[in-house]
Amino acid sequence: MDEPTYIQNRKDVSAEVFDAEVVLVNFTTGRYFALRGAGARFWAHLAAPIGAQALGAAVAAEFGADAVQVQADAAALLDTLLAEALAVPAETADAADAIAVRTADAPYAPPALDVFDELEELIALDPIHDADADAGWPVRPAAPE
Amino acid sequence: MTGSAAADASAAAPVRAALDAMDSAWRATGGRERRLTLGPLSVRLRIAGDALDAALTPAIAHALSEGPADAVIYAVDAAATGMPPPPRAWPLPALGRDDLAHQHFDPETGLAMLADISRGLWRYGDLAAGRLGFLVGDAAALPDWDLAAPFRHEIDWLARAQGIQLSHSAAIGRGGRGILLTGPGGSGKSTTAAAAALSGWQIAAEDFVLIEDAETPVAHAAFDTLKLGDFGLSLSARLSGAVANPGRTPDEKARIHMRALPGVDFVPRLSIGALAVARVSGAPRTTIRPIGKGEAMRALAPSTIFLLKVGREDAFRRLVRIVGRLPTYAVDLGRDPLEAAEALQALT
Repeated sequence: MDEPTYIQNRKDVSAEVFDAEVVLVNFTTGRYFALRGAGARFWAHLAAPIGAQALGAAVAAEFGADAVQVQADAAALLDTLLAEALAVPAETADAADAIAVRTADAPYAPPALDVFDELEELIALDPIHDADADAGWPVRPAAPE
Repeated sequence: MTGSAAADASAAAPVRAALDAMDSAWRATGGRERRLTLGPLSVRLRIAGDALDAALTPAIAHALSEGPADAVIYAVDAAATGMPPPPRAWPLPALGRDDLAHQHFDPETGLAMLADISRGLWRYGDLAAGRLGFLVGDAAALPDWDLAAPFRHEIDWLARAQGIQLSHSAAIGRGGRGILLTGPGGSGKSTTAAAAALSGWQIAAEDFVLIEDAETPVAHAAFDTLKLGDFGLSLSARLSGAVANPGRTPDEKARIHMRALPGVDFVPRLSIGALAVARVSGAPRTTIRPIGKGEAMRALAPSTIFLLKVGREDAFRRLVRIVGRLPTYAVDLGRDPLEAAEALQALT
């Protein structure tokens, strides 16, 4: 059975690589992130559909790093990226789309994702606004019984 | 007609109908028109309703004049003009929906809508036709942020077409050369900007500023508003004596219009030479140190993007370019805002 593949969530997330970190903003959740260490290379390979095993192998090859450790890091990072909706399951995978492996110019450092959520809290503080479906604006919908 | 063109026409109809209705409401009130000029942006402002006019114009009074302009923004007070409420069904396919608003923004069709329905606030944009509208259910119920930064969404939509980004940051400077000062709520950005303005700095913005995405970015003033908490107000009796919202709620900041402050040099533009990220350090004195562009981007972009609500990827990309053009610093603010303002001179 083929390995499930994943890809960057381009619909809801903007991201940019700055030096040693990737800045990511999830427009839907209001959370934003700094992805450090080798995270930029993991993120780069998620530009095309890729499975956890292939992701770990590609990054390990780039850094010449221990494949077992990088595979574990890839699996853990993917779990986090999926939980934060920064990456999503890919609908299709085509090996021809894979991002090229390149030689890293720095030693391998495990990826680390810093989460910033103060804007999420601000959004949550605001009450939900809606109009009654029948009466329309400015009548609020009745509270559920 | 192709399927896509038909969809565009279908989407355009409710926006254009709303703008037509706002035009009629404005003409019925006598049709007063002024020109709003903010840097390279120039637009005819057509406000229907005296209370709405009084609420929306103080923060932009510095930029109002007479004369022609290509685009038009309507603002209509439904309660005062008798304009019927907007259609209760959401008429466009929304790109997303959060707890605040329904929203739609399509640069290809030039159609935009933002609706905060329970507050009775609807914003429409037919950008290809240069027509925008802000329909207000009741001017008396406008939230204070619409008084502090009136038409901020409409201005944002028009600015983008000219490569200009409305940004959540302050712009202060000396001799026409300035810095962008940014930071999250509670970072000390506003108090530091106010302290600088009271210390002889030029100031083009305290909360929102238009940034021209040029090789040397240029900050254009939009609103003459200072928003300050109690600590900021305590800087000077000049500030506390100029508060425009004395009946504010405890969680609202004081709103002050800079033209009411004698001696403050509110300027229409500053060329920007640095981006500084403010943070309260608790240390006796202010220190400044270079930081990476990623850290600066995290301070500048998320709040800007979420406050503007639509066209987020477009705004993100423009902010990436602007951050890339500027040296970036952290400003760890000392306890005295006036000392912090003095320390910032190192960046100009």
